[in-house]
Amino acid sequence: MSEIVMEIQKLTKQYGRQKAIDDVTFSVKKGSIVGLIGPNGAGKTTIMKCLGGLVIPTSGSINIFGETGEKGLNHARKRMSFIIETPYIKGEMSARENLEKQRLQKGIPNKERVDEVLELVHLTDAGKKAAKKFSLGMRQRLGIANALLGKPELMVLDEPINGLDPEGIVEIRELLRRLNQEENVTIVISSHILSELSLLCSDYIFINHGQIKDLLTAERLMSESGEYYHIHTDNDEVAASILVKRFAMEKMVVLEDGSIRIYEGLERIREISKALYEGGVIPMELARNEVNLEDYYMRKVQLSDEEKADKESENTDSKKGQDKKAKVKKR
Amino acid sequence: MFNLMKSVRYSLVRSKVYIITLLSVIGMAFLLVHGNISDPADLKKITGEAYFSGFMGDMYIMSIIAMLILSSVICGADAGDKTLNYELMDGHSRNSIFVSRILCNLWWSGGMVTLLMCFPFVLFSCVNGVGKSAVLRDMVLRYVLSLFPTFRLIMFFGMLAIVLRGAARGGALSYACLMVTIILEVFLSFQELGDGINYLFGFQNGAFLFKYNNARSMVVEGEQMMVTDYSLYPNLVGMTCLVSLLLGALYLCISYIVFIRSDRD
Repeated sequence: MSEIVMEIQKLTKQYGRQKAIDDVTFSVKKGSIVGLIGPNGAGKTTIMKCLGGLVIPTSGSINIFGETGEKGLNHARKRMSFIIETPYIKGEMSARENLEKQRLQKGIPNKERVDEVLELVHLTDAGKKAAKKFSLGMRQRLGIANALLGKPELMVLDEPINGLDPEGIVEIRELLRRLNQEENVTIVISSHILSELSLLCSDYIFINHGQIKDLLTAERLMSESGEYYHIHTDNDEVAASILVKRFAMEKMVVLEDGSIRIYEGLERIREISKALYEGGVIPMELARNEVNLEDYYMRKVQLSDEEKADKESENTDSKKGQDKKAKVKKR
Repeated sequence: MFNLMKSVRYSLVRSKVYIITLLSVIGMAFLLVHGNISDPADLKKITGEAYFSGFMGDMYIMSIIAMLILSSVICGADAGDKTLNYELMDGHSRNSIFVSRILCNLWWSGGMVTLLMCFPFVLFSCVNGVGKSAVLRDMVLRYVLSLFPTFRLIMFFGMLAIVLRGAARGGALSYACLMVTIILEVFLSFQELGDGINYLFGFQNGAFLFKYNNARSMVVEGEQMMVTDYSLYPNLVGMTCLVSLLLGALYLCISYIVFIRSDRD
């Protein structure tokens, strides 16, 4: 069984009444690359900030390398590195000076390490140029160099490929993969570029509205997500209601353009097609596709949004009912 | 903690702010001395003692500006560019980050004040002599006492930068506070407040320590020299220490509570 390097138990962070993360529980195995996936405001960065000690959790526990509590986690963080939101860069300093400052801060005695990481991220030629004059890609690479300086065993990276050109993205992907494979560095990474994550990650955590919606391995994603039918008709609204009423479809998503994706009952597609036709709906497109990470994510997020909307409307209805009762009582 | 202090020093000596501040205040000091003498030849008459009794109070107020800029940079800049966040993520405790910032602030801001105040004194003493009427013990006592309001002011400027999480924001508010207190001090000087006015504001307290009463020119042993009355009385010494330490500690506590408790987003 693989060693667990990080374990989060029932982690909650509340700002006033708003829960940024709610009862989050997951663990990370040594040597894995875990992708944190979710829309903006889902709670990914808050989880990372809790790991980095920037945000003090309202409740729950964090265990990293078997260490817990403030002192223990500070000790564990010395074996980790982070890039959260913006990389660590002093604009008026050169790349080398930035790394030298970081080396002093981390207490790394080996001065040559600065040259090693500069070479690793191809910034040796940056010379005395101030970091504030760097392109976004160079800044991102310098941030990664900072993160690599202390030879971390666990890296937590929030959008590390943000703003990189395609070449830069491939470069960073290969670098992370190499670190993972050759030096067994465990990586927790979030990104909006899901196609990139799918090329890199061994595990995925889907998060929305501060809660974990799904946890799965790359293998399970492949086997579970499988295929779907993309249906586009001359009247998608009626088609959706037929699918729900006649086939009790639950694993179904209506996309923004009105077209429908069904993830269940694929073997009954003839029956479905016939039912649509009988219902006066003409299928314009009926295509069988394979689900990739992006599709899976869209399904998860959309389903969780719908669940939330349902819950909210239920709450509003019950509140209205209560108000009505209260008014009747008053009378 | 020492790693953090080394890191702060590394960025500070590479920052243009330190050099510009130092040069600006030296320039202002030069203008101050130059503006107060009618004949350039009189420069040769300014002994160390004459500089101490004539210009040290004004020099102290000028060096407060340098103190303000440096404190804001040391305590606030690293919050603005997320250096503090990355120090936390490197496994440094909030306590050690806070203590390192405060020690750096005291060392660098206090150091700059010392440099700005002592350098001209040493220079004039070397060139024109210390002066015959100088009482070294008195000068040392005044200077050591001035470290107390300096501590109070450094803690105040540092507190504002920590609470506002930015060098520019902290510096601007510190400057506004300084200006308001200067105006207030002018108004209050017309009131009958007695001794209390001397300790109400840190800058006023510091400058007052370098004040000499009844300066008069006298001929002693055939040589004309400036003679003043001894103006350090026990209450001034005691209250300066007490008020400065109490207020400095209060500012330190507020900074600590804000720094330790707040999330760093």
